[in-house]
Amino acid sequence: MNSTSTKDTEVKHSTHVIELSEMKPHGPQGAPLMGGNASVIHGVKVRLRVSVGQATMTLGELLSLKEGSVLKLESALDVPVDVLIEDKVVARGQLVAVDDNFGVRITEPPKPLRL
Amino acid sequence: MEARTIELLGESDLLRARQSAARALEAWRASWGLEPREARIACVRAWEADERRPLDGWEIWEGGGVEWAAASPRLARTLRESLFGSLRAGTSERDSPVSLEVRDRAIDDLVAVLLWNGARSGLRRREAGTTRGIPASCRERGSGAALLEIAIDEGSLLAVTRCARPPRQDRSGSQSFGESHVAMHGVAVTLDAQLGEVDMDIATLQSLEAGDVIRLPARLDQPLRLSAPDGKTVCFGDFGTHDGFRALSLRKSAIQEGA
Repeated sequence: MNSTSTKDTEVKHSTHVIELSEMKPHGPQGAPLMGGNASVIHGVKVRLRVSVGQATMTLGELLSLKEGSVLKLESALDVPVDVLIEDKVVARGQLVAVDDNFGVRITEPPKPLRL
Repeated sequence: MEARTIELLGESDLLRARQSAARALEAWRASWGLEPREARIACVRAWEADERRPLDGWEIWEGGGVEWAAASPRLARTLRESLFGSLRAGTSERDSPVSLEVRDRAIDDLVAVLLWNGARSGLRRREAGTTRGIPASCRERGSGAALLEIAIDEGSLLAVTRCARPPRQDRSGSQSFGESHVAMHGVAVTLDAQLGEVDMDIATLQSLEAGDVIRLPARLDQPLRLSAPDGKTVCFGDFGTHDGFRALSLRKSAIQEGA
């Protein structure tokens, strides 16, 4: 144990080195910490990405594309668009216009969170 | 410890399976006197397929290995109409057993062409109306099986087939290496057309219901971003349609646009 004093206040403080105890995990038998309550993460923001379709081609075809080329996607017009988080589809919907912007009218809503 | 051989499928394998199915479908349409139509074929690794897909009323075929197929009831109806025209009012399919048999043979033929290169001997047809999902054996990870989902007119056909690998090159030294840029030109790449991104908290996301509308920041006159698998922007394109499919009319590359 060390004993020092600060120059500014001349008050003596007691300081000592902290030793943290080693913890051992008790395995998966503990009760769920969240208790199935997802409300604690409700404020977390996620970035949704909307994909209207994909096109697969060879690198040769890709390199030969020119300005004005029409690239046909693999999605037919009536197929819903995908709403993704990272690369996982979380919902699907119909492409719509909202005023002057694109929008998605949900047809397959996200599945409830399982904790 | 049990070990099994696995065969991993790359994008080029799936592309090859799709192209092969498109050719088979075209040949089948010609042989049955059906008008040529562009096939709508999706191809995924069989183990990634959704096993919960309802297949009530679908007709099922099974082969000796992973080969498996299922035709939707709608496919049988539309195919019958394509071959014999629409039913007159007051008649039903039961009134024309010959047409039913011809239709069944046409579907048998299609499945055989898709799965077994035309040979029908290995395929076993189950009773119509069987409720079944895609067999677990077809869905084993690394089985080398691909699931083809083929839209034919208004019906659809699911087919699980082993991806045909390209013939293995003799590595004994008799063949010289090709130039790398030639080899790379054949590599398949999947591009994603993205409408935009929007941030949302989980509570709002979880509260979304059918009919709710998410407004995106992208304006209607704004070009869409075409991105590579690593997320990098390849180019931009104006959004439109082509032959009943969504399409992009490509603009300048991302480098030219300074993206």
